[in-house]
Amino acid sequence: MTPMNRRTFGKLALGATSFLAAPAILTRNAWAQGKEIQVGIWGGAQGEYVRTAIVPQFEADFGCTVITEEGFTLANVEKMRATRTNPQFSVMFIDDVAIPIARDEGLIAELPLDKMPAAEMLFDRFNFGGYGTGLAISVASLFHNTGITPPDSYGDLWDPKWAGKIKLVSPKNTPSVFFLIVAAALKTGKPFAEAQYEIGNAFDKVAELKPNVLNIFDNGPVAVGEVAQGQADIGLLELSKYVYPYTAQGAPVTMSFPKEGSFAGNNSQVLVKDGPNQDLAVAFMNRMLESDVQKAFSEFALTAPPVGGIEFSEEASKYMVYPDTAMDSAGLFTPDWEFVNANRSAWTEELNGIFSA
Amino acid sequence: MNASSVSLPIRLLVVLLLVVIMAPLAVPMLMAVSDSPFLTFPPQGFTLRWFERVLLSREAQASFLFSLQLACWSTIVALLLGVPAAAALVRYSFPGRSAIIGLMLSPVIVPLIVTGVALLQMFSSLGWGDTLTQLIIGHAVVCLPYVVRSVTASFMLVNRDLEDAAAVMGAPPYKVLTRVVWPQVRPGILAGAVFSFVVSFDDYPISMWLADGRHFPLPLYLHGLLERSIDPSIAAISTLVILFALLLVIVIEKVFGISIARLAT
Repeated sequence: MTPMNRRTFGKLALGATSFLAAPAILTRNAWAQGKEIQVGIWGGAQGEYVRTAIVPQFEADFGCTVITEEGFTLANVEKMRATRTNPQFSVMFIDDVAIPIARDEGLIAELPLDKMPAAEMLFDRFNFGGYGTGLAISVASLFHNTGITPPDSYGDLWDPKWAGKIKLVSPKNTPSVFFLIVAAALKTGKPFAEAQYEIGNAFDKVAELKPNVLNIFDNGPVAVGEVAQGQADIGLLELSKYVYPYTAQGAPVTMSFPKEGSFAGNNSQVLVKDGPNQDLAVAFMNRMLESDVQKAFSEFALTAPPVGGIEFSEEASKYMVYPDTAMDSAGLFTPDWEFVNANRSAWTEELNGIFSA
Repeated sequence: MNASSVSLPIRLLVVLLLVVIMAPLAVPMLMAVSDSPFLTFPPQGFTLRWFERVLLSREAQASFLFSLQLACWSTIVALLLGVPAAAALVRYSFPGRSAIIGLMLSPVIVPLIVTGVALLQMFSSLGWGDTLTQLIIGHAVVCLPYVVRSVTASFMLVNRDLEDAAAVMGAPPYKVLTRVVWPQVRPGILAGAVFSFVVSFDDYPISMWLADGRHFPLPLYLHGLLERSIDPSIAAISTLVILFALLLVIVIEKVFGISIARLAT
């Protein structure tokens, strides 16, 4: 018999629990029969789990249809913009970085939290002013080939011994903002919370890293695979959800956490303003926050849930920082996205100027 | 010029060029048979299990078949619009002709990602929700320039004297079309169809905006797989797509008797 892996077990456990409760659920959810919503989800392991485990069960419980469309944060925001006059999506998955933008442009609606009982367990930091909820929390930090000893401090990466051995994240990707905060923190000697406002003065520090940069990557999983193969020693930096699936399968790559701290990558969900069947959309968002769904989802994607009260196995716990108190202890930092968004295009131009020259 | 008259440096240069062109295709093919749980190059060991996994995957099969269906429909639509348009552009002079040529070729000039989001915006404004129709229209828009360019070139090379001679000899218009014009433009139309099919089959930027979970073309599936899979399955799919393209060329050459190399020049 083929041994059951972690991911298969998660799907089966979620399915079995829901099967036993099916008759009562169907009666209670008769209002949703025949309705349809379109949900913009992510690609990758998270998208796969949503499509293959969560959506089919939700459709069975509510007698409805959920059409999923895979994308990524910027594309999903653009889809909401493009369909603003006649919204097609009801729920959209985006990173927390884009929530202020979507809110200010009137693309998303405030959540009716009173109709989302599962949101009671949501940690306060992941309700984003009532305009979204967290779904999965990753840690952004260095990743490295297990054949090397990673540096204790980000500052060590500027040492010539790392010349041509670092893969740097592309300015297109959100973790590049984390890199800029690191550079500002090193230059000013201030903690991330203060250094983020001094990024504009830190580009000389960024430029000093150039000799150590082998190349720029914009596809996290591919970059992780390349570091595992030894094409570079270190990746600066990426979300744990892209790294740990490799680590868990035995690839010679893992993450390290320099003393300056690490960053939180918050995958989130938002309710599209005036999207079709808002009641069903809210029910879907609530389903995404339910404990059994979050436990299985987190163990599948190796991310931490944004809700409290979930117990994880020792194996799964190795790959996540959970609960919120552990996130505080680990110094997980979330930038001031409103400030970042206001300056990001200028920073991107600066970065492009340095690394394309 | 026969082969023996080509100098050695030229031959070496040709071999070098071929190696440079073919090497990127060889890499995924080699990685696809690697007996390791991760994508590695050079490959370690030999196995065909990644091909087995891909060929048995219902998602991969569904995406492949959908891409095939989409490419066929897009090519048909592009031919239906492109062939008459090319004929008219070559044979008639009318106001705005240059503007129409520019408009038809614009999808090649404008970044496809911009075309895709513009199409999404248009379909949304029209309240048009059928995804398959949206995708066919979107793909036909980007395939049209390839059909128009290739068929236009064929029509320009048509010998009008032969048409006049046939007409003078009493051939009715449909016979002139089928016996005189068609044999001369057929290679151009077929070339346009091939380019159109390949462009649609490979398209990512248009599909990215218009596709949904029920209509999921192969390039989107491959992109998703690249994000979530760390084993050589993706190299196996890439290999199968390369082999499919080769098969397409062989079928066209053997069944239709048309040389792709000649069409390309």
